[in-house]
Amino acid sequence: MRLLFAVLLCFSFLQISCDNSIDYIGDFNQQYSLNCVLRSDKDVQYATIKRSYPPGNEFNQANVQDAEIKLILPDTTLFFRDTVISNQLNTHVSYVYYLKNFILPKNTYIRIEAVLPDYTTLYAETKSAQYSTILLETEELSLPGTADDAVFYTWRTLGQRDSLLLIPSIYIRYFILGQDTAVKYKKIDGTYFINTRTYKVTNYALSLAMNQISDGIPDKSSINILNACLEIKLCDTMLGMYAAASQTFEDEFSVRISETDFTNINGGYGIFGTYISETFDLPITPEYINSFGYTLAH
Amino acid sequence: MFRVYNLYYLPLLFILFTLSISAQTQNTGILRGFLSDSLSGEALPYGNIFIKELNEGTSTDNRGYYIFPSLPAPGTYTIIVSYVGYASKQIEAKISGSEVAALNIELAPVTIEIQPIEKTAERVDRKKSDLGKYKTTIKELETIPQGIETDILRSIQNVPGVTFSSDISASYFVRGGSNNQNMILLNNAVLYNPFHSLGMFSIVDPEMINSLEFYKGGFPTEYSDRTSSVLDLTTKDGNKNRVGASAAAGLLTAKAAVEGPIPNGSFIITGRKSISNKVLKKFYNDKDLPVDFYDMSFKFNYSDKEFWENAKFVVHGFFSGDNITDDDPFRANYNWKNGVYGIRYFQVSDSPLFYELSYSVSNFYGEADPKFSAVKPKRNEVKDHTFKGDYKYFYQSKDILSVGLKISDIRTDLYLQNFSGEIGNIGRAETTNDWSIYAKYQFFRFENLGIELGTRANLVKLTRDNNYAFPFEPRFSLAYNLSPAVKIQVSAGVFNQSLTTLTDEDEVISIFEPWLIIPEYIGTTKSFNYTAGIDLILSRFINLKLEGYYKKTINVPLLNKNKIFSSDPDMISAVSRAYGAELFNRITLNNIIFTSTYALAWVRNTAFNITYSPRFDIRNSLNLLLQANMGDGWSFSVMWNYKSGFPFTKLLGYYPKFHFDDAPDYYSILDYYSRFTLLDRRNTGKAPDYHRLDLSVSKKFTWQYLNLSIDISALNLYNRENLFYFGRETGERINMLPFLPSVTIKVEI
Repeated sequence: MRLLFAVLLCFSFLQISCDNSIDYIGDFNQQYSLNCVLRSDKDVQYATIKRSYPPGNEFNQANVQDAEIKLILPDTTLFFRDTVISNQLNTHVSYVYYLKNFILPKNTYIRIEAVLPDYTTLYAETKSAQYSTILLETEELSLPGTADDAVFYTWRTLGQRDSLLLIPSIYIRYFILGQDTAVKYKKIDGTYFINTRTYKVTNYALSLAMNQISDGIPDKSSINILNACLEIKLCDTMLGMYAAASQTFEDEFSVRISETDFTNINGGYGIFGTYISETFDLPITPEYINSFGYTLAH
Repeated sequence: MFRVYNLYYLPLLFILFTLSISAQTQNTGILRGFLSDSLSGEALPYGNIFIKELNEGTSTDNRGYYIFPSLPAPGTYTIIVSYVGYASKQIEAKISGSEVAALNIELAPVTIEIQPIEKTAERVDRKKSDLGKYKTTIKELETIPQGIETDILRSIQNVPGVTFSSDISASYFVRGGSNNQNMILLNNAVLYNPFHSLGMFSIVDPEMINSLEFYKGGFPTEYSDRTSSVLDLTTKDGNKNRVGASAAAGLLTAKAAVEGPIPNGSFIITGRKSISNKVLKKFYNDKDLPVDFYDMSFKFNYSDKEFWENAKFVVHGFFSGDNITDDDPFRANYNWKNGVYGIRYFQVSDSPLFYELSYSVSNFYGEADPKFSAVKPKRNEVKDHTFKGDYKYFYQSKDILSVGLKISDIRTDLYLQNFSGEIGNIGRAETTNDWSIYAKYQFFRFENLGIELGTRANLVKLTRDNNYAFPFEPRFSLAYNLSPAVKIQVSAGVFNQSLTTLTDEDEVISIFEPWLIIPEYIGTTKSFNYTAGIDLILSRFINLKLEGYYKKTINVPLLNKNKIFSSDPDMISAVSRAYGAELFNRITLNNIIFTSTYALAWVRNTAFNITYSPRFDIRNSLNLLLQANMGDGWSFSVMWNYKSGFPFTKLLGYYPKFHFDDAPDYYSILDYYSRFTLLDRRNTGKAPDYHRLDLSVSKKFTWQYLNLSIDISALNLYNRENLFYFGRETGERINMLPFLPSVTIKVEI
């Protein structure tokens, strides 16, 4: 009898704890993010405001419209206008705020303020980088590399620097005959050795990028390669930290169930930062271009 | 330069020790010896030696050594020796006055794997406090359902007071302490990274282990530099009588061992290698885990009375390595390895004194090589050189004095890339020396009472914290037998720790955990432990133990998740409080053993002025284990494990997070967003309860000249979907181990 009771007790216990459902969603509280990155190489600047949403809602409906965004400089205040644009692939539209005819000043304190339709206020401040002259020190610039199947680009900066982050990138510049006249840029994956201010581009990565340019284009000779270019972004402190915090990709096997989020936006999430861009032309050998069936642009 | 505390008490201690050593009187004699396997000569640890006429007994230590320091002499005594899996023996021993009688005992193994313990065993060591102590042999561990293969660290998870964050990992948490507060010793040397395959299995192959001693806290003064637990593993010596070999293969690994005699000694060499990754998918959410690993060990023992009487020399080594390599240049490579080797010298003298000197080297190396991937580079190195001397003297009064010295040189290097991409070494400390001594006096002179008083003293410390003014770690325990069947125990102690790992509590699976010396701005981690318990022998077959504990730990180093600037500290200091109660019950009936354990526990951490429950704060844990021997080489076991749901952080929602990646012709702000998870207050949610049923059946038989064994195991028989975590980006639910059958075949010559 005791044994039977014990067995029944155990099964009852099992039954009770068989419930495997879980309420993993907490109480939702509306949050907002303000994003604005001012760049020196363009005179049109953009900002976005997004809202948070509970699980089950649509990601693409997170845009906030009809907010008032102003940029406050030491001697002037500028107001963003709003518009709707499509993404590059024309798969969805976004609601953005833009500011025309604005060139980023160097070494300047800038503040951004956004007042949302529900009167929520988001604001942030940053100081644009003091310009530093960048001198490219690599002797042989052309791609592909002849030694070690790679090219190492190094540089040094002159002038007084704030605490800022340099982000180098290398692109292939090209256009496609018969399509629009805009010059396109295809990024080449490289490795940045920060301590030595060196950016390494392997021939393997270069050939990968060159091949990807012709994806979906049957007539390869219509692809006109201009050259490659090395772009170095001098990010201010806030943008530098945001970019670094976003790259929390420690390794591809560890599993983390939370993530640190950097923001300098008071009252919400997002980033307000600036960067100055410096570009250097890098030639690509004609024989290399022709080996892909492409045309060397003149 | 290192800080040296007053050493005036050091010579005083040794003078006291020397004066206290007195010659045996004419009316008492000493009986001592080693207990071993009659076939292999392997030491039998924790065996029971009982003297019938005196109604007193003792147990062998992990070397198989025992001693009765003061027996009335002259006299003839009946010695009853018992050990699980071996035929008990009765021996007559004659003791003369002022003589040391050496009695080495050999027991023959029996075919019955689970054998009831002789009733005399309950009466041994009743005056010794065994609060928080768990000891076992590999033979006992092998009878528990293990799954793919027997794993020592996974077996520890079934001990009351020990829990895990998931059954995918072999990591364990003891009485509220984090996993980097556990020490694992292999032949007296520290193992720094004891896991293969991202923490899923231990690097220690059970085939090479002879004994296992586990302290859940309140560990003796001989152990230092951890605040939560100590797992002390001793490897086999090897067959002293004949050369033998064994091989085994399962779903994950293949292994082999060779052992045999050498002149005046023995040797054993073991090796294990992963042979397939397919089964690891079950542990890793059906994703590929292309890890390749190996481990190997060796041990040489030498003891020759002609060369050096009553001395034993041991040379040992252990090496392990894990690799995740990818030919794709845009994917990172990972590798980590351990190297441990050392020498031990054990001496039994003519007086009731024995001592051991040992020197060991333990190295760990771990690296994440990004190649052309976005993975951040990481490299960790630990180099530990340690010398230990342990002395134990037995008085005629039955009291025991233990003293010891430990000198360590520990170097840690941890190279990490910070947010701006610069690589720095945050693991290097100013000093690498750690010197400490200990003294412990055990009062066993009283009839029903045993008292232990001891302390460690840190003479030179790794962590140069300015606020550390008290270098002692006092420890106390008391055991009182109210009756032969009722024992009450209490213990209290202070435990320090100078090393830690840079661990993210929210990382449920990690490549490896890098070790470093606790920075000065954190200070030495210090734990205050209080334990009380009662041990009841309800009948010949039923043993019940109840323990309660409270533990407070200060200066617990945690990863600083709010670090933004490079000048911000990498770690912050937290306080941890843990308390609870544990119940252990074992019923032994002929060839059946039923073990039930229950633990009720609370853990609270306080960091950044926020108090929260860590992931291993599991309220209720219940473990039911039934082991049976059915004869003719058949045995089976079934285990049911239940745990309350672990704390987790609820999901509040998402927001589109902007990823900055402008190009000359492209504004990433226009459409470069991904969903980012917003989380609720930390660990305020509770996962569903966890439970799992495991089964194991094994058959041992002989064919020709081979001893064969086949083990069939099944984990999670009813395929319970135990929650592991929710994917941060997708909200996908990931469960722990599903139904997992496995088979292992072992061959022995």
